[in-house]
Amino acid sequence: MTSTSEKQVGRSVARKEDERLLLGQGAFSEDIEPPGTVWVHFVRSPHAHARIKGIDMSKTLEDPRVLRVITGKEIHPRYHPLPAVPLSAYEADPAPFYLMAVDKARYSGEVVAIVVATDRYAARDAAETVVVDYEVLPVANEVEDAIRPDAPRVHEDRENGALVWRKSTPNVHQAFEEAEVILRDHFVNQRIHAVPMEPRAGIAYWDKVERKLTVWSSIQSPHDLRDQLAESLNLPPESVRSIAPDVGGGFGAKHSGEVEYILIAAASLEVGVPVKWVGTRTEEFVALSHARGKVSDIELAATRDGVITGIRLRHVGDLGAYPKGGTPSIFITSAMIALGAYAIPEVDFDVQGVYTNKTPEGAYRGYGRPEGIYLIEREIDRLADTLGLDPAEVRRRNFIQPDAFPYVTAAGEILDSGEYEKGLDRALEISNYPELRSEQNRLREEGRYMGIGLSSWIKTGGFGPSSLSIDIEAVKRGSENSGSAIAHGQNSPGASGSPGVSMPEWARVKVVDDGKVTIYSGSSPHGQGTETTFAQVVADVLQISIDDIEFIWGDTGTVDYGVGTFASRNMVVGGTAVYQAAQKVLGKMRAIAAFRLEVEESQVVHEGGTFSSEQGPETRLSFAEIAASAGTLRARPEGMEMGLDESSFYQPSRLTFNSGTYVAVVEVDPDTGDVDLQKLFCVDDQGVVVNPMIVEGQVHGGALQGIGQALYENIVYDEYGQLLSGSLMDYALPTAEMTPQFVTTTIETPSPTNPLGVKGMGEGPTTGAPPAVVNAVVDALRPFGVSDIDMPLTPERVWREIQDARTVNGDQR
Amino acid sequence: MANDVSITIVINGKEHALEVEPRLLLVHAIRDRLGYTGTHVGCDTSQCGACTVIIDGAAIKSCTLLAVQADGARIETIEGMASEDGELHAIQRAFSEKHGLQCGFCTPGMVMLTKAFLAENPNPTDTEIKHALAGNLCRCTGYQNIVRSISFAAESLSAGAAS
Repeated sequence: MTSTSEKQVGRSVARKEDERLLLGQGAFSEDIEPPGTVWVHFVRSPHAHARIKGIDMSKTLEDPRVLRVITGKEIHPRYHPLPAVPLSAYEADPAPFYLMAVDKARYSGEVVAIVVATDRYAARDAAETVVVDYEVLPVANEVEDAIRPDAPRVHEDRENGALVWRKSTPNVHQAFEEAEVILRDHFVNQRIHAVPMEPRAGIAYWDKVERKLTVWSSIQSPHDLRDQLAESLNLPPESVRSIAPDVGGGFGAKHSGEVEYILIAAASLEVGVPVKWVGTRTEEFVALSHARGKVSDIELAATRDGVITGIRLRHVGDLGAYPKGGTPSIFITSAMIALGAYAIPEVDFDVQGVYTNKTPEGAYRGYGRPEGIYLIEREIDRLADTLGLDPAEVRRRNFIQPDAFPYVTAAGEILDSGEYEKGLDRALEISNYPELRSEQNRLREEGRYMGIGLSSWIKTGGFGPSSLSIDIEAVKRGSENSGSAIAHGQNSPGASGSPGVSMPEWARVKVVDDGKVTIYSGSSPHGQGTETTFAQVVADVLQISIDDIEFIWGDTGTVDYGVGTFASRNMVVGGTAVYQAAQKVLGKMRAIAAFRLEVEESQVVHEGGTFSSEQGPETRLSFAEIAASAGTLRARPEGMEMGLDESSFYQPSRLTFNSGTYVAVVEVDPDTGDVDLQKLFCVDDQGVVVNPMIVEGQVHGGALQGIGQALYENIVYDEYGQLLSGSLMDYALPTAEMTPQFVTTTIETPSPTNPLGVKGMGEGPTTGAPPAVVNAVVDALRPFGVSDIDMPLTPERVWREIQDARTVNGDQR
Repeated sequence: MANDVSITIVINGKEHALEVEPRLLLVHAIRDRLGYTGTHVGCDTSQCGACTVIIDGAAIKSCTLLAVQADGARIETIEGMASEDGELHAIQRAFSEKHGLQCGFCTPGMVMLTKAFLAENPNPTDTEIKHALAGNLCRCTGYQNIVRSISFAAESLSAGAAS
C-alpha cells in the first residue's frame, strides 16, 4: 500500500493494469461474444477504381448459414455518410465519406457487401460466393498523377486536388532575394501503416425490445463513435451505448471514422441479434487507415553563417479515397511545423490535399507533425553540410531562445515553453558527441562508415484547444484562460488563420463512504498506463493511496462525456480534468473539515492524508472520516449537499509543445547498403513527468515507430492501385533484433498552459527519430557524396544511392 | 457438421473433448470453442506470435496449427501461468517489474515464448533474447523493456531454483 504522505507524481509507480493483462484476463473486443452472436465478413473491392454494375448474391443466399447480404444500395438511402469534420481552413468542403461503396468503389479494399452468417468460417465461405460485376476504371494512383486536371476523378463532383491552402509572410520573397545561401530539396514522407498489434474488432447489438444499440469496439474515442453511430444510423444518441474494452494499440488509426463499426450496427438493426466482425491482418492493411504520405519541395534561405532567414514549402498530402477525420487539416499543421524549433521569420506555404484511389489516410502517432519536422531537420543538416559547419552548431544558431516564450512562429502557432539548447546540450553530453566524431574519423581511416545524426524537434501536445489563434499580447499579460485571451480570425496581432477545434476532456471524481475513490474519465487509454498515472495525480491531490483509487473509462453508458485518447492529450487534457475534479472534491472536504474543527477554511491544514488546523494540530481527521461526514447530516455545514462527487471539463486554451534532441549512431556497409542502427540517444522535454517508467516506455515505442518509417516500413501500391505490401510478410514491422539500444533521459520545462505543467509526449519520439536516423546515414555516406536517400532506407536504396553518387563523382572507392 | 473430427486436447492440465472441422485453427479452438481468450490473434501469416502457446514444452504459434493436428497434445496457455491461488509466475512478475507491456495484446505470446525459451536457455545474453524474440512482434514497447523483463525473469528463476 503506497504511503499517503509521499508524492506520487514523479514516481515510477508499477502499473495497476498489468495484472489482468499478464493473467490473460484482458477483455479485448474479439474476446467479447454475447449469446446469439452472428458474424460478418466484408466483401471488399479488389479494384482501386471500379463502377459496380451489379451484385449477384443468389448462390450466397442458398447457403443455410447465411442470414443476409447487405449492399450499399440498401445502406446508402437509409443511413448517412460519416459526419464530416469541417475544413474551414480550406475553401473546399470535404468529400462525403460513404459508409460503403454504392455505385463505385474508390479504393482497393472498400466495402462492397456485408455478409452476415452464423459463424466466422461460414461468413468467409459465403463471401466467396458473392459475385460482383465490376467495370474497371482508370486509377488516380500516385499523388503527382492524381493532381493533374486530366486525372481520373476519385469523386466526380470535384477535382482530386481541390483542397488548397496558402499562407505567406510579407517579406518572404525578399528573404530569398537577399539570401547568401539557398537550398532546394525534394522529400518524400512515404505512406506507412500504424499496425497496432490488435486488428480491429467490434460487436454491435441492436436490442429490438429495449430499442437500444450497444457497440463494443477496438477504438480510441468511444463517445465520438457513439455520436457517429447516432448520426449515421438516425438513432437518438441516448439510445446508443459505445464501449471501448481493452484495446490493443491504436496510435491514432483507431481514433475516428471506422465505417466497419457503423456497418455492423446497421447489420444488427437488420437481424436483431449481436453482430460481430474481427478484422484479419491482411484486411486491416487495406481497411485500417494509412498515414504520412506527403511529397514536399522545400526551399531554404540562409546567411553564410547558417542562420535561416526564410522557408518556402510546397507540401502535397495524399488523402486516399476519403477524408478521414481531421486528416485534411493535418496537411496544414504539418506544413506549419516545418519551421521547427527555430526562429525563422519568413515563410511561404503552398499546401494541397489530393484524393487518390487508395485507402484513406488517417491519424498516426504524430498526426502530420513528423512529416514537417522531417523536412526542417533534414534541411538543417543539408545547410550544415553545405557550409562546412557542425550540424549541432547550426541548430544552436537558429534555436528559439528560452526567454522568447510564449513564441509566435511565422506560421502563427504559439509555442508555450521550451529550452531547446539545453536539450541539445544534454543530448550531446549523454551521447558523448565529441568522442563519437573522433570514433567516426578513426573508423573512416579503416574504411568503415559510421554516421551520427541529430534531430532537434518539437511536437504539439494536449490537442483540442479552443482556438489555434491567440492574442499573444493577452497571453503575455497573463490572462491565460480568460475569454479575452482568445482571438478569432485575422484581426488580432499574432493571430493565425485556423480556428480551434475545442476538444475538452471530462472527469468525475467520486468518494464513497469508506474513503475509496473512483475516477470516471472520458479518456480512452490503450496502453498508456492511464489507470496508474491518473491515480497518481488524484493520490497527490487527496493524499490517499493509489490502491484506494479505481478508474472507470471507455463506456458511454457510465462515463457521461468524453473525447478520447490521441494526439498526446491524455495527461494534458484528461489528466487536468481529473485534477480539477479532484480539487473540487478537496475543496468540499476542506469545508467539511473546517466545520468539524470549528475553524475558518483557510486555517485547515491538509497533510499526511489528514485534516487538522493550525490552532489544534493534535486533532486530526482522516480522509475516511471526512468522507463519512459528507454523508452525515449534522457532520457537514448547513446547506451543503451531501456526498463527495464532483466533475469537471477541461478545455485547453492552446496547444503545448514538447521538444527534444535525438542522436542516432549508425554504421553503414557500403557493399550491401545495410544500415546498423546501433544507438539512439533521446533527450525529451515533455514538461513535468508523472511516471518516469511509463515515459521511458513511450519513448522506446514511439522512437521505434519512427525508426520503422526511416528504415523499414513502406506501403506500396502497384500502378493499378493494388496494395502489394498487404501482410506482415511484406510490410517490415521492426522486430527486437531491428531495434537499437535506446539511451533516454528527460528534462522538464513545465508547460504554463495547465496546472499539472505537463505537455503530453507520446508522439514526440515518433517525430524525432526519423530525421535523426536519416541524418546519421547521410552523414555516414558523406565521403561518397551522398546527400539524400528517400525513406525507407532499405539496403537496396542505400546501395543504389552509393552507386549513383560514385558514378557522379567518378569515384572508384 | 458431417466431416467433424473428434479430438482431445489438454489445456493447462484440463482435458477437453471437441468435435471440430478439419480446417479449424488451433487458436480458434482454444479461444472460441473453449473460452481461453488470453491467447490472441494478431496476424494471418504467422509473423506476430501473439498466438504463442506451449505444446509439449515447445513454443508453438497456435494460428499455424490445425486443431486436429493438436489431438492428444498437452497445451499450456497464459491462463495456466499463475499459481492455483492467483499468484503471478516469476515471468509475469518480471514483465510488470520491468514495464514489459503497454497495451498487453502481444503479452501472453511474449510470456509463453519466454517460458519455453528460458527452459532451454536459462542464462541468456541480451543478443540471444532478441534473437529468441524474432517471431514475436510488439508495436508499443520498442522491445527494450521486454528484453529487460526476460533477462530479469531469468535471474529470478535462477535465484528461485538456487534457493
